[in-house]
Amino acid sequence: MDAPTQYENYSFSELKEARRTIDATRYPERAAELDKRIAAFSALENPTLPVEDKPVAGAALTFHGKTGEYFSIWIVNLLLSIVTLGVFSAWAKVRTYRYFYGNTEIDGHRFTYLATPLQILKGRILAVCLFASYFILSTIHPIAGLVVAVLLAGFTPVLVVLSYRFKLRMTAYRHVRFHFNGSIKQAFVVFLLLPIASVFTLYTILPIVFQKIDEYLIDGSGYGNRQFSSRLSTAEYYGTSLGAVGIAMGIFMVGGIAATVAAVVVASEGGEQAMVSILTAGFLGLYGLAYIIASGFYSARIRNHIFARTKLGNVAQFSSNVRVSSLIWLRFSNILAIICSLGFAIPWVLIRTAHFYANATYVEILPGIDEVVADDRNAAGALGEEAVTLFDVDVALG
Amino acid sequence: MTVSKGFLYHATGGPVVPVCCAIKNNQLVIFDEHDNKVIYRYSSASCEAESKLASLPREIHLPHGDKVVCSAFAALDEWLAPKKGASLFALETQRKWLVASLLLVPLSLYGLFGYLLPWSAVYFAAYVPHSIKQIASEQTLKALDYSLLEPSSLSAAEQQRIQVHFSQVLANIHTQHDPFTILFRQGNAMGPNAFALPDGTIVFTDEIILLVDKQQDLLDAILLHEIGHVEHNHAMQLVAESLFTTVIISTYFGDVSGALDLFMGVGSTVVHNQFSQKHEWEADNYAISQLHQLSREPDTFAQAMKKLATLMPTTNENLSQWFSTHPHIDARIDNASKVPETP
Repeated sequence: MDAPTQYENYSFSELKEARRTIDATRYPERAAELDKRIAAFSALENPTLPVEDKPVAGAALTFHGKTGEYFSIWIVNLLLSIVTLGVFSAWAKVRTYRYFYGNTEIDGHRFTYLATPLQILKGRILAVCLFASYFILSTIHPIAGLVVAVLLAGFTPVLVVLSYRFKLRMTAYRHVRFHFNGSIKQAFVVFLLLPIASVFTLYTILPIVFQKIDEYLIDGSGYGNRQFSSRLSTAEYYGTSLGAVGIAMGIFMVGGIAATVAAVVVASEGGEQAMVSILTAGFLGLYGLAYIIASGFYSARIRNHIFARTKLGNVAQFSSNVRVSSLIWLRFSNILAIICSLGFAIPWVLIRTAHFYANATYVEILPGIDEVVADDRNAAGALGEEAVTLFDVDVALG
Repeated sequence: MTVSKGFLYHATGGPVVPVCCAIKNNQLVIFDEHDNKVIYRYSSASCEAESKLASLPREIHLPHGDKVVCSAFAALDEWLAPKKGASLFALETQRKWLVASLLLVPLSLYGLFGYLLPWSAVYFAAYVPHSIKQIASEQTLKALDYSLLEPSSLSAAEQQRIQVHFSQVLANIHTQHDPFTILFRQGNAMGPNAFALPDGTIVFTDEIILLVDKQQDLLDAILLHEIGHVEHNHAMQLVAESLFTTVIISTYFGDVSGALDLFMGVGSTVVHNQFSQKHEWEADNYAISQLHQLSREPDTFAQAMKKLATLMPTTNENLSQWFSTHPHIDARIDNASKVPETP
């Protein structure tokens, strides 16, 4: 049998992959060796660790979901949702969330999704009524619809806060709930005032707006009686945003020239219609390509940055090593798979995406975890969460 | 006796206790993993449990708010079986239900979007009172006049001449609706077009009148097509249908969205276009049958379509049909040309 020293030449991600796949009950000493080496790696990345914050456990984030198992859950729940004309979808949502949360493990403990189907159903019915009224109004009276749309846009920060509150309240780890207590006033600043201000600066402050949004969402989040805190770098946001814009422009330039050349060649052979089709298809494809690559670059870099700069008291610290090229390939292949399978690949896409992010995430549990006290203030309803989905104004970190 | 490892979590948070769980004398026994001392002993009636889901560990809520989580085993599942949710687990894990769902999901989606949804759109649209249609029409026209359209550049005499011909058509058809109002506008970005508002207001753009070289019999044929839209209440049906599609796609697939937004958008566009194409066929066939009843030349509708066809790129890719609100123009011309032979 190999000595545990076989891991000596492993990279960080290889170590994590090995730790994830190893049967810890059969080879406890190997698992321990892996944990030690993983902890050493992340200590290298955070060299200024205070002595009292030495991690009690360096734990990989493990996702246990399996495509076959989830496919079956997904399709049976989808069928029940269809035949009940959507009523069952509230139960389906809870099953899905429970599956993904319950299969996500850190340091031996799983996450829990706490919302009940009736909570979701109530929120969903209210959100559908609101959406239908808005939809009907905007077709009967387009001008009144426009006025309501503007009012609604002004109201978006409130919806986002309500939905964030609900999302975090319904998440628990070690029987302790998360919470969100970012103020609504601050939400108006980051989601409304700053974006409007950025228009007047010709978008030059847009990276700062993204940074402020992320800081607002992180610093407003908490676990039990502890708050998350972040120290994000403006330089990182500017660098990443400029990089993303540069990538998109580069793709448009190179691709635009290629499409034009192709179109001219075709046109010179008399196919004027074909030329128009080539140009249209070419630019649509370019747009999609630029979007996937530029947004993949941005998400991967900003996620890694956020994780490295976020702490939860002396409870946990995080690191993320999402590779830009891997994330771009993941998203590109996901879209391709869903289109080619006419949607049947959705469960596979969700499971492999969860595995992807779990493999790239690492959490160090600090001694303070045992002192976290459950904090069950601020109950939250599901209306906000359901409304942001239907009105399509959902936000996510990064 | 099966023993399962797990954790005991206290209601207030704080340290977690590694425990073992077993079922003994029909009771749940929780004992400390290290010293095997019994911590709790409960009957089934005093505990609540999360319903069984896939191979997830079982979560059992104890009285006074504590929770124990341990990997599932047969005796525990049996002990918790009378609680809610066991039948759903059976549906999700049995092969026969998987196979049945694989067949029934595409079938029921097809039935839903192909039959139930159009039917309910027609059903509910019929209940929209005329006053609402009037408001909708006035406001829509107002918005269009403000944004796109401009007053017609046709001379008053010319407008008058066309109106007189139109009123002859209107006088000779049976309609269940209030009098139709015909208006002229300069279309600008809208180009050669005629459209009907739900209360029976029909708008012709200058561009379409010039496109058919002001030939009155062609304009009459186009008018009949637009009357077809009003007679069939298409505008209100389209509103109901878009609303239902958006809500349904969002509730069925919204929870798993994320990277799927594009897929959802494309899906609802395709559904919407199928519905819209059906309306165009209905309006076409209405126009053709009315031309026939009025003993007019039924070919005039085909001629009008041919004029429109000159503006369109000659593509016959089947794929692009999925993303078009109107049926393929050649198919419409074929349809309009063949009817006279079957009176």
